[in-house]
Amino acid sequence: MDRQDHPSTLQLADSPLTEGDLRDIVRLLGEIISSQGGITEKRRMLMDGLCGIIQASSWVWCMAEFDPDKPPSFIGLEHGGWDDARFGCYLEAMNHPDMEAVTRPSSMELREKGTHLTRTRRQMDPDMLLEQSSAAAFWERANIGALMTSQRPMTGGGISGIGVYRELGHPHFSEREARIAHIILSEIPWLHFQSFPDSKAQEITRLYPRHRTILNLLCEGWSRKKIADHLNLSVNTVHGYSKVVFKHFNVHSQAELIARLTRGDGGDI
Amino acid sequence: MPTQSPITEQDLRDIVRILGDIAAMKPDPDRQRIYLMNELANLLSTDTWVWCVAPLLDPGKQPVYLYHHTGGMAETRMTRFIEAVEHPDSGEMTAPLAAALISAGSQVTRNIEQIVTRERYLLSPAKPLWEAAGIGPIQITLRPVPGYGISCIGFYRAVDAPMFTERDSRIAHIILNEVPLLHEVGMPHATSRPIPQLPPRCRLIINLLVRGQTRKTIATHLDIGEQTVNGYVKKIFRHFGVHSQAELIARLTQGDGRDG
Repeated sequence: MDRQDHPSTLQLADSPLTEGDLRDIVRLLGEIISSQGGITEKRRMLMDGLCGIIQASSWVWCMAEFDPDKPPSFIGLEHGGWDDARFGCYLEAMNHPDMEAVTRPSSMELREKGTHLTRTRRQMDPDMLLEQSSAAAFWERANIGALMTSQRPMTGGGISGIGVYRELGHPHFSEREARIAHIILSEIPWLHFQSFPDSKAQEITRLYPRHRTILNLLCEGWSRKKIADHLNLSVNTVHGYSKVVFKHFNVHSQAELIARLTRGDGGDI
Repeated sequence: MPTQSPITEQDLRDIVRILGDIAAMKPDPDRQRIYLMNELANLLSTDTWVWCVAPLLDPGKQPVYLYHHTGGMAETRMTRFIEAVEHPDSGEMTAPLAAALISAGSQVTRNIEQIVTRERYLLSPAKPLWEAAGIGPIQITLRPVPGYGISCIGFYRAVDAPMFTERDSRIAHIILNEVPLLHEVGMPHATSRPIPQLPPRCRLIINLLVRGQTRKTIATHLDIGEQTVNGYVKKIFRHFGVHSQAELIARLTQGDGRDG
């Protein structure tokens, strides 16, 4: 079903949403309006609050490339509701080579429509390609069952993607929950504010999946020792991967890498 | 909660967008409040709103309001509006609303038809004053402010405009109820008891003084002599123990802490 065609004059009584949902949403936004803090704190409050309303346990906001012909590549910018180990597993799952086939149809659709799209795992992958792929084991290890992504094409190129997740053993997101997420994530533009020039995403795409995972973990601020432990590699191997990543982005330290990729230090202009 | 909600998904989207915009604004409660009220009025197909607070709630008696923010009201119209509100029969007509607030103990939202019958309104001596203020349909939200009194937010349409609908009142009620920004700050602190002891004419003039009108303007608006206004003003100053209009404004709207 095409969410964008959803008739907006629909009365709440006939839509999956209720007045109780409206109240919850207004209350959440009201609290955010009264809160102290900048965009980062507010985004965090909003995402945590949204997860509360739709009963998701964790969320991720990332900037990504949406070229359907390339593996999905992304930089995780903010996230909530994960412990380190699980988030590491999540990054491995996302960077698994089989994910390209799974995300391809929704990437095509996004490119075609050029508007904000929200999709549940079922809608994104009706043929259950993910379950049959060798990436499935990684998603399971990350303890992720139901998921929903909301993707917004950015004017500077690339997309801002927000994912919300449930642990294994919980039901899929419902029509109502998808609707709530879509409305909040699409009507509040600042949730997606952070430029991410095309060039960076393309640079990431050229890295091998293993390197992309290392890159994501380095961007999380993980030490090489921690990365090695998590991925079951030797510290030396991780050093080797890191060198390739540093060279690729022409930086000389992890700090420089983070600044370059998540804050946009202008190094590629 | 009614199962049949008159609110649409487009309304929900609009509300999310408006509140999202306000969350992104620099923290400035007054500016954010006025923005929200203007946008909310827009959702309700009007541009006219008044937000005031009343320190005392006593059904059957004239409520005493202090006007904080308004939208879509030029100075002259606002004066006419205050005159209409201050007419004794307006207080009598709105008594059921005050009673509803007291019995509910929480926020109530009503449109004028739910407060007073059409027949009663047509016979009211206050009706010409409301018409002079260019006001027909009215929708009012009253909200108790603990330790203070009530916060009163009204939306108004022109004399011949259609009535506010069930949808309009649900939207206003939910937003006004769930957004703390609207109520948490900016209340005058020190005004609770003294005002009601003043006669109605003085209360009207207080509100005009607080809005910064000069005595000459007040005299012209109310069609009374400047000397008469001066007499009222003296009485008001004495009542509050202030010596200038500026001091009065500070005292009533910012709570200068004099009696804290």
